[in-house]
Amino acid sequence: MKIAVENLTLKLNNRPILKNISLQLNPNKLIMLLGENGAGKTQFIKTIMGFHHSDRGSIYYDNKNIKNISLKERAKLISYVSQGTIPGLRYRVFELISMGHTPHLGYFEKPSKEMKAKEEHIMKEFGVWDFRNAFLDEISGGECRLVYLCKALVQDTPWLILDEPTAFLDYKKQHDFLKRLKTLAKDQGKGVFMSIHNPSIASQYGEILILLKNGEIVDIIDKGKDGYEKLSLALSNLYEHDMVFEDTSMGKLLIWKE
Amino acid sequence: MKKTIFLSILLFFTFLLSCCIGRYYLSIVDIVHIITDSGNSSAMDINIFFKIRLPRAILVTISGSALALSGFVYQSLFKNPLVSPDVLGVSGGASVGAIVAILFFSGSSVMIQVSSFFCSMFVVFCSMLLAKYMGGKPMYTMVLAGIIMSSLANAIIMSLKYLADPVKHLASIEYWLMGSFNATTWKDVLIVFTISFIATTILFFIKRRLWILALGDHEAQALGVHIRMITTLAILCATVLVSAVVSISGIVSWIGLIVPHIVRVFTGENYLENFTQSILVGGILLLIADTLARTLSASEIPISILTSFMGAIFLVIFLFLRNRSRV
Repeated sequence: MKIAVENLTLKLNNRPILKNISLQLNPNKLIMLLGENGAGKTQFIKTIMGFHHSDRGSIYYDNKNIKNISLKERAKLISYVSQGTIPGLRYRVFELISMGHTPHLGYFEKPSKEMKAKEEHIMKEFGVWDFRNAFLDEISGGECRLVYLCKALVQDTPWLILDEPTAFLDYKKQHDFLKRLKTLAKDQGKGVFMSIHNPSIASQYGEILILLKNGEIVDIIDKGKDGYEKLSLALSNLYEHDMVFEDTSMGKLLIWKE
Repeated sequence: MKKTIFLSILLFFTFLLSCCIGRYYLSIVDIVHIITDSGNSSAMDINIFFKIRLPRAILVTISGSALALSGFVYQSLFKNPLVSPDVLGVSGGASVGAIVAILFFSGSSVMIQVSSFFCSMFVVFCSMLLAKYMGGKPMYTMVLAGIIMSSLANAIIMSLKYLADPVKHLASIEYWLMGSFNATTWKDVLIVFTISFIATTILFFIKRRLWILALGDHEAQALGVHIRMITTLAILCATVLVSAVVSISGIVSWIGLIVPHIVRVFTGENYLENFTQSILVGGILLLIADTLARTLSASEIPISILTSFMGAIFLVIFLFLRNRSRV
């Protein structure tokens, strides 16, 4: 499935948030959205999800305008992980994860045995299984992100859209997490679109980098095609600060010039 | 699941006990004889069981369950454990309706039931409408709108009481406001059962979606949940449950607030199971309260006196247990 955005303009309380954005998102590659605080990353994601009604422009899932796709159908196409977690939510980890089945269930249906088996597999894969019986307000912020990701994977959709999923993860977990997302995109052919703050991690894992500034797309870099030089120029332009990639024995390293 | 089965058995025995105990004692053996039509039950036994005890016990069970479920749904919708079914003014509305019927329509029981049912629904409808026009975060404005409408209803209740004839009407108004299952008829049972059955079935249908609402609007939407539809349906059903009960029995306080807490503390927090368990515990608790209400003294005690008393005790126990588990 492709996601297409055409001439998208969004205002919230009369403040322009997104300005005339057009782009197309394709699956199979890890797509990352970069931008400073307040650039409009979260609102862009929310608009693509259909949570905001745009003032102008349209969003299409596979050439079908999202206005014509029911909420339930949309939930079968895209799963979403929001930025924040609800404090004090007295739900257990496995309960939250099992909520991912909802779009595939009728009103009186319960998850089937296969669904449960898949759920277990995902929980084990992401190291959540051991604390599945804990309450959400008893686990750490990073663990909580993993739980929400598991919920999104249980939802079993062609697309995953994540709003700063690595924000609360420790350094190792960030790398593990992104490696897994990349595998999901490459091996399972899923579409993965996420926002992120760290440009050096983004340029390590991201294959397509979308740079957003003041509600406008300033650059879309396909790392494979455009190469690191163009990427460093685009990043320097985005953050208005010189950045360069240096070759090291372990790969490219992004340096923020003093 | 085991706990739910245990609670079902407990409800069954409480129900049986409630049928036995009273000023005229019926043993379990008597009841078995009456039901199976074996042995030689006296006409008195049969009459008491079928015309008084059984309809009353059934009505009390349904009422307790309905109030508890309503409380559970409201608390989960408003994400606030201190919310009771009263939050949108349902009791205030029901009281105004009942008092109007007592004062101006000769206080016939049918008039009281119809009037209090529709008044309570009307007040909740006004609260929701008011919240819609006030804007802002729906759940907060709804609580505020509920406070406004309850306050208005209270003003009307007080004015009507002030104007009421102290000899002819005031006592029946006060009595209604304290609730009672006295003189329950099969017709009452049928009405409350039908309404509660429909509302409860709908709530069962949307149980999983209701559960998801707590994740926040966007997460819920991303899981395909129609927030406005589910919220409106849940409020409507929860309100209908309370309205149906209080229009027949008068105000029954505390059950809706306290039962979800009892369930969570004693059976563990598990939304989907707590949903069913609230229904069972609500029935059990109100059956106990009603049995006490008609046996503790020579004349029947209004039910809200007992439920308030039990509620206060349970809340203390609940807070005590919670604090101890935190230490």
